[in-house]
Amino acid sequence: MRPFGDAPLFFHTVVCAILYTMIYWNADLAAKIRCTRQEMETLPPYIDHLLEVSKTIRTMGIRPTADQFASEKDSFLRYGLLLVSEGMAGELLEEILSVLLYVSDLQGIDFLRQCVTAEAILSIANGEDEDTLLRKLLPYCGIDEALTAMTKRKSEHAD
Amino acid sequence: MLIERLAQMYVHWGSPGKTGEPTERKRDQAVAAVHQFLDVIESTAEDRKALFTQSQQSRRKATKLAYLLLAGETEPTAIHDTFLRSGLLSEGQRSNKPEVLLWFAGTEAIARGIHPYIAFLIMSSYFGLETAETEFRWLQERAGASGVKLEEYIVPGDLTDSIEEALKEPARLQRTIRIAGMPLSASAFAGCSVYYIEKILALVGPIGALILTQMIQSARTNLVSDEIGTAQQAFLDLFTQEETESTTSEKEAGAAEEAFFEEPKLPDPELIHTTTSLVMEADAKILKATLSSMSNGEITLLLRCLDAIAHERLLNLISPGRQKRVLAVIQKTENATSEQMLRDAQLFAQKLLAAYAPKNLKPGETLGIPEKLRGLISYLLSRE
Repeated sequence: MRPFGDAPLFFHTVVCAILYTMIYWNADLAAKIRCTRQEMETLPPYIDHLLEVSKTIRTMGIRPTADQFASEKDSFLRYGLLLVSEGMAGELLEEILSVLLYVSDLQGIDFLRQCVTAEAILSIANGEDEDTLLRKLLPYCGIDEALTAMTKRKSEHAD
Repeated sequence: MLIERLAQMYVHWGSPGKTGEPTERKRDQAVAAVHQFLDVIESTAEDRKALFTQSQQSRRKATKLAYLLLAGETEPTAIHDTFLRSGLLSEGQRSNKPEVLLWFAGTEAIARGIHPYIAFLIMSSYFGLETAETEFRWLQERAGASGVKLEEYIVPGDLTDSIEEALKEPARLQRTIRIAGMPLSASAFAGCSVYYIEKILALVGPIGALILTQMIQSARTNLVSDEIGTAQQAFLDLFTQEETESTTSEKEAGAAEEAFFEEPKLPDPELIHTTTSLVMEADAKILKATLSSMSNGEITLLLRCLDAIAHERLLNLISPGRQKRVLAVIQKTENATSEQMLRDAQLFAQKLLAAYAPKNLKPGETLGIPEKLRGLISYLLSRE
């Protein structure tokens, strides 16, 4: 794996994420997704978990009849992976996931975590590699956290 | 990004609203209405009159509107406008906004030609995560109990020839199916034998398997062989593009192949003569179907049991792409023992016999195989 091997592309993704949110900015959504810096710091370990799930599915595949995800505690992730196991991906999966987020009762960091999960499910379904997945998920941690995580992972990679 | 789509929903529809927990009874009624919608769409197909009748019988405004729009074969964009103009989503009516939106989404999905099962999943997601998963399990059971079966129908092409190899990498094949999408995947699989289709369907859950099966049936009805061939090529291109993480299976296959060719001996001329005669006498269509059920490796092994004249006939019956792959494997192979060659020829004879056997052969009936061919197969299979 080569995390952040392509830094300009990473920054491009971060900037795009901000621009999209600005273009379609909505007060209700902004209020629902708001959380503190400390709360956002809990996201990187969760992103690591999502990366692991992605890696497992990419190498081992999905066993549709084995209830492979029964032990997954995150119910949003579990349901998303069930949809993927049925061969769903692309636009239609995105539609279902965005509806689930739209009607979600959660707020703050719990809701933000669901957004990250939904993005990961979609990326896994679309067969994207771990670098791409990381580039999509880290912007949800905020620019500062994403940059810190980037620097940390870069130095780990150099070691 | 997905967050963009979510933001668009908020901009277009506003907040879903905090209307308090719907009573269990109300939610059950709404879910039952969605179940009925699925039944009606599946049973009426394009029967506009039945959809219109259903519209008249519906009590809820959104449900009534949904059936009416489908009965009128309304364009998806017009469905969006109609729901907006209906007033159902206006300020005063917002207490049941997600329910109205689910009918809008379901109607639009059906009008876009999306499979009813997918439309159902979209609709049930408006009830929230818990109900969505419950409804997903219900749909899985329904799909599993459907028992739709496919008939044998083979269109020779690059995928038909390579599917056995592809099945050795299930994770990669699953990924390709998702990336290609159900319609392209189904069109490509439409030309494969039922044996391989069943193996492919086992790679997805019951809902995906049923959707693929129905789309395969549709592709076989609506597409000509060339179109299926093009879909096969497109699917195979995607599969080739997908990088594989592990080459373990290839290494194992290579090791097995090496072990296979360890003790080369002189070939048996009688075996070669019999197998060559078998290939030359067999009906072209049957031979084509037999080759489709064989892997590149098996064809390569068979070629070693044949004279040059049979090589030509056999290679002419497979696609140019597969010819190249088979010839590439031949260049790497070494001589085999007589026992190994006999086993390869017998495997081919068994597959040829299976290809001649119709599925609906009744007890007491004999296979329609020419006498000479019957003799050659019997002789080959009885050899030790």
